[in-house]
This record gives sequence, structure tokens and C-alpha cells, in this order.
Amino acid sequence: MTDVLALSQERTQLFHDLIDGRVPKRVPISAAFAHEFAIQYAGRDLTEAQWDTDALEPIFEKTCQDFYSDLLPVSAFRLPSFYKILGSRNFVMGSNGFIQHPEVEGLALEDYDAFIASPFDCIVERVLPKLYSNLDTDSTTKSMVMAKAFKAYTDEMANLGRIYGNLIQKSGYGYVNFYSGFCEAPFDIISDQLRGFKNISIDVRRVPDKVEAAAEAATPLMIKMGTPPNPSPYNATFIPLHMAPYLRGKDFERLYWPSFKKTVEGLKANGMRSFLFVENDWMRFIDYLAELPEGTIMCFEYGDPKLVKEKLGKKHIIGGFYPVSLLKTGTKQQCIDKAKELIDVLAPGGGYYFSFDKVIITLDSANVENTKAVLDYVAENTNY
Amino acid sequence: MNSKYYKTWEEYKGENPDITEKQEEAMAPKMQSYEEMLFNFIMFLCA
Amino acid sequence: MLDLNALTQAVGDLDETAVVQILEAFVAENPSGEEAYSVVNACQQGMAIVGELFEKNEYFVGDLIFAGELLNQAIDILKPVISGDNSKKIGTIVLGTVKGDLHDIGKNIFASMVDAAGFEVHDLGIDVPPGDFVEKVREIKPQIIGMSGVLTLALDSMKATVDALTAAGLRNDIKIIIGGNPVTEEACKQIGADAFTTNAAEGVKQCQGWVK
Ligand code: B12
Repeated sequence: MTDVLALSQERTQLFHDLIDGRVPKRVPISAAFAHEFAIQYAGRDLTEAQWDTDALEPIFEKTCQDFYSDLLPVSAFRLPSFYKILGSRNFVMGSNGFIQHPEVEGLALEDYDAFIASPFDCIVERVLPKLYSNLDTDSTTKSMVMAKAFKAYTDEMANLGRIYGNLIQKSGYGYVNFYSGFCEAPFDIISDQLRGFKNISIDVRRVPDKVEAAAEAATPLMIKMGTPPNPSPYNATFIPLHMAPYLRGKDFERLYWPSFKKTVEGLKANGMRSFLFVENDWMRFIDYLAELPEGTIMCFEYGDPKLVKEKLGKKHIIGGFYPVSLLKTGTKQQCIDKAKELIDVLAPGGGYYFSFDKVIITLDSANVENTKAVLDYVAENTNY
Repeated sequence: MNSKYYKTWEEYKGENPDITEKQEEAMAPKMQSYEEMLFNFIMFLCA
Repeated sequence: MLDLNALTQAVGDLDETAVVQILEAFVAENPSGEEAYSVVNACQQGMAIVGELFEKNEYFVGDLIFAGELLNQAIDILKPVISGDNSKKIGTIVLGTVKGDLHDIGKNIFASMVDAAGFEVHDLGIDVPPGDFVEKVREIKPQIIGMSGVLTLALDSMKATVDALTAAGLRNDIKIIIGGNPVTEEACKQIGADAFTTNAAEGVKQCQGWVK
């Protein structure tokens, strides 16, 4: 057996132990860098490199080589080709090459009822043309734009899939994928691209019944979207959570939680575990999180690690909390001390993997040397 | 799912009753995989 | 005359139905401009309550956004009675979210509050390059410039805007106030602004102070 293969098996084992509720040999590590970071780190120009996805492999490989992780640490979500073909208004490439998300309204206030009656029809007929200007046209042109965009999308995904596979093999990463499916909490999908942050905050007060019904109507779509063709107990569906911390407790309880919980349970019933990015601070809602199915993976951005370990540590798999901001501003020693402090709280008894509190998006969001030092420290000093 | 734009295999078969059992075995997974891919793409566009 | 305290409280509670009812009844009585101003003032005090509850973690960002909307609506209802002679503007402000930043919720809240306080507001929108600020300042010669931003990179854009105003020889004729979550005293100094705040009501007070 080659060394890389053995390494891969060992790393797979770390995560299988984590997921199966056994204490692994050491704290498993899942570092996460966005493709923008990898491109900048390789010294390439973002405005160019994002177009040539065939050529991303050596670019990603450089990040893989220099930053320790047990799972593949680079991934790309949003690429410009298909957004450009569609004339996207919701994902727009800025002059610096970053794809950004401006405030948009994909669903008009008057269209709630149509969405509630048939969410997918409403998305196809009313939402897409509002979000994508090149779909706001006659049906023949529309079908041709859609054909081009779908071809571009499947090409990009195939390229990425191939690159991921090669890199996992070359670098001996574990065969566990936390991004094997993707969906959102029903309330979030209605907020983010459909109504927009501003509108939804107003809707919650003025038309809560509609918001509630819309979240309910979106739930089967989210479960379907989040279920990949071949569910596996060692993979997960990624659900980045967004709006809850901006809501009052009683709105959360009524409008956010029930449909979200149903989504996670529905995925579970389909054989998928959820991997939640718990954005911002959810400590107000920690008792709700405790209700989610056993073995749900949660990466926390902010909050109280002690409280999380105490309330969720026995039932769920915890990661996150390590502040990327400290990687930028701290000294190497401070950065390592922080890792130690978190591991002391979160690692005992297992159910914990090391990750930063968010994906590292740009080269300037963290000091590279600090980042390497922290990952190496965890890899070398956290045997159980 | 009750949508004009998404068909399950059962719905498709209902509209095409001449599909033989043998054909179905080969055809269903392939046809349905494109249905699913397009569904996922459209959902991705508004997520 | 209506109960100003009740109005302030209703705004603070974000009780839209009550606010609208109180204001519509008030406008129907054909009040004087002066009375109308005390009503606007009561609404602003209500916004200050909202701000306090936000600091205390009783309100959240969603509530702030709704508060901004509620204030806009209040001003719309009051417009017929505040415009007229009494609406003589007490000053002019050019306002915008700086280059690279697309967030405008905070900026809009400040805009409606400072508008209600009697300023003429020229809102340049979001992602405003330094050159657009310079051009607008040349054109309408405001007393004050307000810059908003919530991204960390907004601080660089604010600095670039101040530098552009200096280069154009306009800096000394105006006061500059910056707002948005990341602004601090230190950032304010570095940027070369005259004042900073993360609280729209405070920003309004500062602006009123400047034009007195
Ligand atoms: C709402 C929101 C959005 C909405 C924006 C809707 C809109 N129309 O503005 C959406 C969803 C579209 C969005 C998009 C993005 N966002 Co955003 N967003 C937020 C969020 C949740 C709230 C910001 C807000 O409105 N606060 C409420 C207002 C009322 O507060 P405020 O702006 O500070 O304003 C108050 C005062 O400061 C003052 N004030 C404000 N301006 C001014 C001006 C003057 C002159 C004065 C006197 C006073 C004043 O008055 C207000 C009331 O008191 C924050 C997270 C958070 N919790 O803060 C992230 C946040 C700001 N976003 C963030 C990011 C990264 C983005 C994106 C880049 C994401 C992406 N990858 O595409 C894009 C933006 C693209 C861009 N280039 O701008 C980051 C910024 C990180 C950083 N440090 O730079 C944050 C902090 C989230 C996070 N934790 O990562 N976002």
C-alpha cells in the first residue's frame, strides 16, 4: 500500500470515528478555503483564473500542499460563467473579481400566494426572470440562454469534481464529504434571494402568515434539493444558516424553526446528515439546536464554546469557533494558544473536529504563517 | 411535487404508455437523472 | 394635540398600527408646522428607544430594518403638514454608501432621520466612488457629507473619498461624518473625518450642532 493511500485511510478513519461517535486517534481537522483564496495564494489573477476551471487543479494544489487538513480544504461554489450567461443580478462579479451578493428581490410581495401554491412553478416563472436579466425575455430566447447556462454549469461542476477527486487522491485526504449536498433553511431561501434581507424583515411584521406558509411550502423543495443521488452516512448536506440571529425569539420560533427542523429531519429520513454552518451567534437558540437529529454536524461562527459543548456535545458533532480574525491580527503564539484553549474545551470525549469559524475567503483575511502554524499545531498535538 | 416543470418517472410513464419494461430499466435512471439535474440547477440559482 | 409620549412609545414598540393611527388622526386636524415638528421629534425619540433596545439585545437587526421602514412611513404621512413655509431647510447633506460596499440599511435609517430633522438630503445611493462625492459637492455645496459603510474595506474607501475631496480643494468647506458598524474613533482620525457614530440619532445631533 502506498503512503498516500495509507494516509487517506487513516484520515478517513478519523472522520468515521467522529461520525460514528467513537473517540478518534486525534482531533480531526477540516480546514476550509474558498477558491478565491486559493487563486490569490497561487499568485493568480482572480478575474482570469475563475474562467478557466480546467486549470484550477495546480492552483488548488498549492493550498493543499501548504495548509494541513484531513479533508480536502479547497472548494468552489459560485463561478462566473453561468452567472454571466444568465445576466445575474444576485451574484455579480465586482471589479476585483469577487462574486458578490447585492440585495435583490426575486419574489414580489404580490407573488407570495403563487409561491405558496406551487413554489417550483413560481420560481421558474416569476423568480428566475427577476434574478437573471437574460431570462427576462421571450420563451425561445429564454430556453437557449438556459441551455447555455446549464451546459456551463454542468461543465464547471464536472471539472471541479474531477479536480477534487485528483487532489484527494494525490494528497491522501479522507473520503468524507461534508458538501455532498446543498440546501438552505426554508426561511433563508425565502429571505436571501427571493424577498431580500430588507423586505423579509418587514414581511415578518406585516405578513407573518404568508411568510410562515411560504417557508412551509419551500420545505419539500429544500429536502429534495439537499438529497444527493447517492446518500451516504459519512457524507453530509451543507446548510449555511443565515437569518435566525437577526430575528426576535418569537419570530424565530414561529417562522424559522419548524420548517428548518423538518428539513433536517427530512434529510435524515433520506439517509443524509446535515452539516450546518451556524452563522453569527445562535446562543439564544441553543436549546432548539439540541432538538436536531443526533449526529448533525454544526460549525459555529460565534458564541460560547463551553455552553455548546455542554448542551450539544454528547449528541452532535461540533466544529468552528476559531476566529479567522485572530489569524489576521494575532501573533503566532496567541493564535496557537487560542487553538489550545478551544481544544481543551471542545475535544474531551470526542464529537469535535477542528475548523475555523468561517471559510477563509481572501488572502488578506488571514495571516498565512499564523494559519499554517495553527493547523500544524492541531495536527501534531491533539492525540487523544 | 405538483409542478409543470418537474416530472417524476411515474408521471412521464403515464404520458408515454408505450414504454416496455425492458426499455424502462435502461431509460428511467437516465431520463430521471436529467430531470433531477435541472431541478438542482434551478434551485441553486435562487439559493 | 396628540399625546407625544404615547407616540414615542408606539415607535419604540414598533407598533405600526398604533403609529399610523396616531399620525393619521393628527394630520387630519390640520396642525401647524411647529406642531408637526414636535411630532417628528417624538418619532425620533422613539427611534432612540429602538436603538437602546438593540444595544440591550432585545431588538435585533431585523427590528432595526423595520424601524427604518416605520420611520419612512411616518414621515410620508407627515409630509403634507411639514412641507410649506416651516419646512425651510436647516442645512444640506450629501450622503452615500462608499465604494465597494452595497449595504444601505443603516444609511437609509440615518437619511430618513436627518431628513425629518429638517435637512435637505442628497442620497447618492450605494457603491459610490469618491469622484461622485466630489462632483456632487461641487454642484450643490452642502455643509455636510455623510459616508456610510459596514464592510471593513469601506474604511479605505472613506479615506479615499476624503483624500479626493482634499485634492479637489473642497475639504475645508465641509464637515464630514462617517457611520456604520466598523467605524471607530481611531478609524475616524485615520480617515480624516470630523465625526463618527454607530448610532443614527447621535449622528443627527452632531449634524444639527454643525449648522446651528
Ligand atoms: C443586512 C446585511 C446584508 C444584506 C444587505 C442589505 C442592504 N440593502 O443593506 C445583504 C444580504 C444583501 C448583504 C450582502 C453582503 N454582505 Co452583509 N450583512 C448584513 C448584516 C446582517 C446587517 C448589516 C446592517 O444592515 N445592519 C443594521 C444597520 C442599521 O446597522 P448600521 O449599518 O451599523 O447602521 C447604523 C449606524 O451605524 C448608523 N449609520 C449607518 N450609516 C451611517 C451613515 C452616517 C453618515 C451616520 C451619521 C450614521 C450611520 O445608523 C444606523 C442606525 O443606527 C451584517 C451582519 C451584522 N450583524 O451586522 C452583514 C455583514 C455586514 N455583511 C458582510 C458581507 C461580507 C456581505 C457580502 C460581501 C457577502 C458576499 N459574499 O456577497 C455582501 C455585500 C456585498 C458588498 N460589496 O457590499 C459582512 C462584512 C464583513 C466585513 N467585516 O467586511 C457582515 C458583517 C456579516 C459577517 N459577519 O460576515 N449583507
